Amino acid sequence: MTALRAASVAIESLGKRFPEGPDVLANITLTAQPGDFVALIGPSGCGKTTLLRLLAGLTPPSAGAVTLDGILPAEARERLAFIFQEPTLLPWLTTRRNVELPDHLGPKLQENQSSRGQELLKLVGLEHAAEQYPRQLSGGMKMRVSLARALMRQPGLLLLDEPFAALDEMTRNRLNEDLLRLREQTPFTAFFVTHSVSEAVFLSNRVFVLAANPGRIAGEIAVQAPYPRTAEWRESVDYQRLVTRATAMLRQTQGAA
Amino acid sequence: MNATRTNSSWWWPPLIAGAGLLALWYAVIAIFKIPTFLLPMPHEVLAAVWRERASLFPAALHTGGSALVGFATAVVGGALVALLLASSRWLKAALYPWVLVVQMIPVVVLVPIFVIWFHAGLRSITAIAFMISFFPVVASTTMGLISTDRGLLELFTILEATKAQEIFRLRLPYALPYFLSGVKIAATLAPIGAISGEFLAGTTPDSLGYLLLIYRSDPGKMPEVFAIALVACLLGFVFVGAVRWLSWALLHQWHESEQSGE
Repeated sequence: MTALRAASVAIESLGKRFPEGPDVLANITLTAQPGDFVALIGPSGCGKTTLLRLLAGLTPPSAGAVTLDGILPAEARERLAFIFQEPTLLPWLTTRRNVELPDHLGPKLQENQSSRGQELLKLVGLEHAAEQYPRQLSGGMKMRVSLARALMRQPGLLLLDEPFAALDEMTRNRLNEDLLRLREQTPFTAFFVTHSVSEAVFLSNRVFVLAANPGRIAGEIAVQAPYPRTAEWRESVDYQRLVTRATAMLRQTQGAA
Repeated sequence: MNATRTNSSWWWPPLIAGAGLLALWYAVIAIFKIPTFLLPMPHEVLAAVWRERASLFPAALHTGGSALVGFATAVVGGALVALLLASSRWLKAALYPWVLVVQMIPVVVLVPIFVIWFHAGLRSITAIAFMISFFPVVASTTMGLISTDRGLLELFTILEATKAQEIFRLRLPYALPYFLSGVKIAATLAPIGAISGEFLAGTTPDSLGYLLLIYRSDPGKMPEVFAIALVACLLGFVFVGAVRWLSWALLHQWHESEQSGE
């Protein structure tokens, strides 16, 4: 179906302002190589979520441009997937049918899709819950279903908007590890918005710290630790040092705002 | 969960309370020496039901039939009007207040109008049952159709869903619980509307409302008036029971409103 290739993302002098409002984002320039895992952290109101929505083509930019492998996001929808803060599952569908939803939507449906639903459920450890309805699942399980659904179309770009914010720390850590494990199997470029510095450092190879009013890039921290990263890496001095550095940078931007 | 325990704890409280209320009923009559023409005793009501069975049950069927046709038309028509209202913000703003205004007309006023329009027969009664059960369906279905979760709509946008897919795979199923709660209200109102219409019009023999008109003019027939109340309750139970069953069948697997409660 889709090429098994991670996408490149080019953001050029991107700005966003809502009618009658101040600039939400100003002059964002950022290029992500295929396979980059980009984390976006910053204070509330710095436009992180707006940036993600611009990348998904859910809202048009006021200035500058975003392209995904050289195309506008709204025209490259089959190449991208979005994971929302909420699991956004359809409550009337079983887990498996929720995962397979992308197969049943779109202007041109192929009849003979060898469904990857069952395989993806296995990958996120939910094959036993295939015939259960969302209300029977815990918050962490629902997010796993959302993750499996996002991977259904083998996206080149995965956009994640604080997907694990509502989960307890144990579950969140486990899902972070799962996310990286999934990326070993299906390569994708990721933009991950989070409030958690430790989550950002654990997942990404590039952490961008954003400042507010207007939302802009305040700094970038490279995380060079190789993938696959495991839970043990969290114990390392290297990791702790990076978390401390990112936290300091974040604090600085908040002080300035 | 333990189904048997849930079931028994469901059935016993209303039965015990019912027995208690019956006892209280008898006690009040005995203590205050209330005559039958004011308040008949429960067994007198049952006796009246039995005595009048030849007229009560055909009447209940007639009333039920009028209510059912009016109710069914209201459900279908209400859902269609809701679809229309939800299809455009402008239409909803323009028409919704007028739907509300029509709902404000009392049944007492509608009856003479409908009797003139539709003649004195079953059709005017059906029209009243329709009028009284139409609005709840429109109101709750419209609400359901316009309150589709924004996150789900964006998900469908990203998944490149067509407009038809958005309607049939998202908006309609999302509105289903709202629609059914409107239908539940309509089911309780339709038989009441039919009986009120029959009573006020007084033109449809063999109906519960018409029998009520006859019984209440005879002071000796207080048990019969109560008998009508009882039969009307049973009729209402049939309506509500059927809709509740339908709602349970459609929703219990996935919707909170049909979980072990209600």
